[in-house]
Amino acid sequence: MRRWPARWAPLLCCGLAACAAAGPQPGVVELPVLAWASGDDAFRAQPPAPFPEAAFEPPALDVTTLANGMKLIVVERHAVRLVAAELVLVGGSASLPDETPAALALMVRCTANGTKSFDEPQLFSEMNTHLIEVSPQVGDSWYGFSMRAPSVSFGRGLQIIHALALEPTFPQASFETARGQAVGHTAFDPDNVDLIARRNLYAALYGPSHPYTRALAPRKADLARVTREDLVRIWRQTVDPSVATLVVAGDVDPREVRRLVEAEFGGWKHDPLFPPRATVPVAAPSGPRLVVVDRPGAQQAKVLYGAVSPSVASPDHPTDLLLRALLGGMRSSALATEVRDELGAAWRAGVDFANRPNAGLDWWYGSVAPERTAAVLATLDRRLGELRARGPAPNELAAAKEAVVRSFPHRYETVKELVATVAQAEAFNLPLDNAGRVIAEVGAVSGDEVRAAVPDPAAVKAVVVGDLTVLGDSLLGLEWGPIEVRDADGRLLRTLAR
Amino acid sequence: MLLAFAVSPPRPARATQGTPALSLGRAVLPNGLTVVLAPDHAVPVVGMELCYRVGSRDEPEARPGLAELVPRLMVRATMHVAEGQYDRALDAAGASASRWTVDRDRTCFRTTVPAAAVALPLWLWSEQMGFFTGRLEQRLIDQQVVTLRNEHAQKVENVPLGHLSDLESARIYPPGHPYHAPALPDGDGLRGMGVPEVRAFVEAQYTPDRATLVLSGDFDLSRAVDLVGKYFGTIPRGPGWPRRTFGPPVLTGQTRLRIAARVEQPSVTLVWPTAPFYQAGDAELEVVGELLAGPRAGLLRLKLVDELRIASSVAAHQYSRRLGSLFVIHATAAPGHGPDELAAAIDDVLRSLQKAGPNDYLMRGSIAGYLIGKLFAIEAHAARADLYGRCEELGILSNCVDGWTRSFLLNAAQISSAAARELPLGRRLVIEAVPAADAPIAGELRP
Repeated sequence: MRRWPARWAPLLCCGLAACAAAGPQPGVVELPVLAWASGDDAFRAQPPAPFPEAAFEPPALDVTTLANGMKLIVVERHAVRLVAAELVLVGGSASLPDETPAALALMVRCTANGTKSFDEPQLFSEMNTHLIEVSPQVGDSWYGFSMRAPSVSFGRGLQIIHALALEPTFPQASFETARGQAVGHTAFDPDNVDLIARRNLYAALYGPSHPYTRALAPRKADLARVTREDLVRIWRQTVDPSVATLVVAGDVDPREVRRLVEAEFGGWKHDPLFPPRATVPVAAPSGPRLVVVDRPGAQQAKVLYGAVSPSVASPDHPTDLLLRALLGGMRSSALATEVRDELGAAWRAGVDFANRPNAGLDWWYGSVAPERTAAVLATLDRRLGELRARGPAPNELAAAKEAVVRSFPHRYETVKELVATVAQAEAFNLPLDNAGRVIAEVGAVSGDEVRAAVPDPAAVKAVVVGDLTVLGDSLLGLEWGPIEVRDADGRLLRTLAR
Repeated sequence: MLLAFAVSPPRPARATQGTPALSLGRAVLPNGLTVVLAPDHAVPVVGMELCYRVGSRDEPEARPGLAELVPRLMVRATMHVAEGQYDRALDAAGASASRWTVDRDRTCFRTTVPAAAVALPLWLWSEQMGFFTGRLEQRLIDQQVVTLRNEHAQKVENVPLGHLSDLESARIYPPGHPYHAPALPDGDGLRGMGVPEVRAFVEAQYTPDRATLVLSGDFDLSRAVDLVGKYFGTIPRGPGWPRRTFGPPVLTGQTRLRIAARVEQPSVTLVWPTAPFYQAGDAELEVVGELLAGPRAGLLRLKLVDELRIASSVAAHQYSRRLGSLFVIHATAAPGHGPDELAAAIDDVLRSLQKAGPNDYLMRGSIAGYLIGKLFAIEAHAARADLYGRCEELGILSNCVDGWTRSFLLNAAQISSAAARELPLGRRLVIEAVPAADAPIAGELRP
């Protein structure tokens, strides 16, 4: 039988737990299976009782700080021969008020075009030979680099992260190619209903010029103006060990990780003149409740219905998690069932959110049959009003708590998810025991606390992207006040009123 | 009362000191249900999957959409699971990624649950398999036909060029072929659908001998064996309904079509009928997809987007299917450029690839891109359950990773040869899409 080339074989056997245990393949054991007697079906009348459940313990974090201020968090997990890592640099586009988000996005993307240690072909050759996956991450609150690899390739992966973060050279020709690609991709923006809806919702809730709104997706004109000098300047403004945390999880020895990290990053000097992170302005909701973006010929209306939510660091965050579940985060929530099955208005709808270190957003979303769009918006308002007046029913609240608490282990299932969960907590400056704290606090939230956290429907904004000639009259019939008609970029076109 | 025998825990497969003892268990119940059990106690969750070898290819031609309707009904109510209880029970258990899928060949239910809740999906899914049709109601059928229409509107009618995929299937697979009809029908074919028709279809097709159940994750093997026997052991075998089958489609020349759509930019789509799933040529074409448009090689991207600047995006992919696959290249024009220019540039790249295979750098990049996606994904139990299920269906469970990563053994000459054999420039479907303000968003054929 042909086999994998020897130099790749150890790398290939990395994703499968069975490989981790025994080399190439698990054996297959033929099992005898018991069958119950036919007709003895009484047990089917009730759901099976769950097995005894051990309280979930978030993974133990091994935390150290290098002399230059860079933080290192390591989590050991030896079940698979994989390792994941993420270098978090706190301070994304929201902390760069004088720069465009387009420039930061391009800067991070262009780090892979060449570094002092590797030119672009060498970089990809290293990643291909050692099966290393490196992805840049860009956000409004932080940016960074995530890596996943067979654990035997960790050292090389670390070298690549170091090179991308600390040694980018931004070659002019590659920069121009990358900028051309990014500008080219904006050609799809006018067809991207989700992006259009989110841009308008962010503008309505945060304000049109708020850093979180501006960061949502780089615009063509902003991208076209970015120069190589912008990239270099932004890189200098954002890279410093004092804002850096490296999170590593997988089949690694923490002592060896510390040694390798010290070798790669220990010489990185803190700049005493490194600028402090700018304060992000508060959310400033404005305008009428309802914004419509006309999309002639649309067969459905994209609906977002949302409000500003508490910071992830706030004591109100656990209550907000329950509210999300009650308003459609759970597929079985009363609202989801009513919209999907009773109104027959949408195939799939739910709740999405944007966690932020200060104010986040929660919103309901759905692609809704045009003739039922007004009815769905009225249903959302009514359900919110009921929760605000009476709070959730005890069984609803209990189900939401079970759903939220019992789904926590999924956030740590793979080394990549584990690293992402810890990295986000670091980016938001949350305490190391945050996960355990949130689990405990969700369990203690009362119905009255949920009721008190429900926003006033009058403060909730809705964005509808659909065919205005079909939707207009029925939306005015909601009597939510004037309706702003905006274009895909959020520019006001006109106002509709009864 | 128990019908039979005690279970002796299977011996673990080869285990080495200092690593967990793992095994892969398999069983075929007397009723034909195949079960794959892959315990792994690293994280307290279990990925679970029940797949029926029933898809849209199995529905009556006069009832397009019936295979899509069935799982919607199965998750609404069964004999012992009240209406809405399926979702409520999974939510309250802390299940994640709970979903069902229907494709041409298979219908699957999937979820990942905390370890303590491993019995719950077994109860819910055994209800669907053995105790569903007695609970069917016309009201629920009518309700779920509406959700099917909503799904079609969301995924097809309201999507730029949403009709493209249906057009590809209709032109590549001849009438009568099980893949000829749209993969996701609009629901019109279900008008007047009644309880007896649904019941007859389900009782003939969604039976234990047409299904594979997979558990991967933190569960006790002996206890899981007991539970599977308890919940599924008494469900009767099906009637052995034969599946519709058909040979792979063959094109004799090039067909050109033109569609108009309310989109921003023109585009071109090139489609070939190619080697069926897991047959010779299938793995090669998956690598060709990476080679042409993947992030680590991307010959088409380098040529059309970066060098010529005539395209804003390029995609290439092998859509592997049991009765004949499709290889599709799709390129969207940059402003000022058009479909003919894109097609000519794509052909230049293909000719070059067919003449001489990729160099070592590109070959290694495309294989790495292909493998990384597959290998890293299966750290998650849901993906691992899916992998084991597919390997079982292919009869390669004992050699699963080797089989699934077979592309690793390929060389540049094989890639070049497969590209020449499977992607002939003179036998294919070419679809030009042009923007038109009076056309539907999803597109329509124009002369």
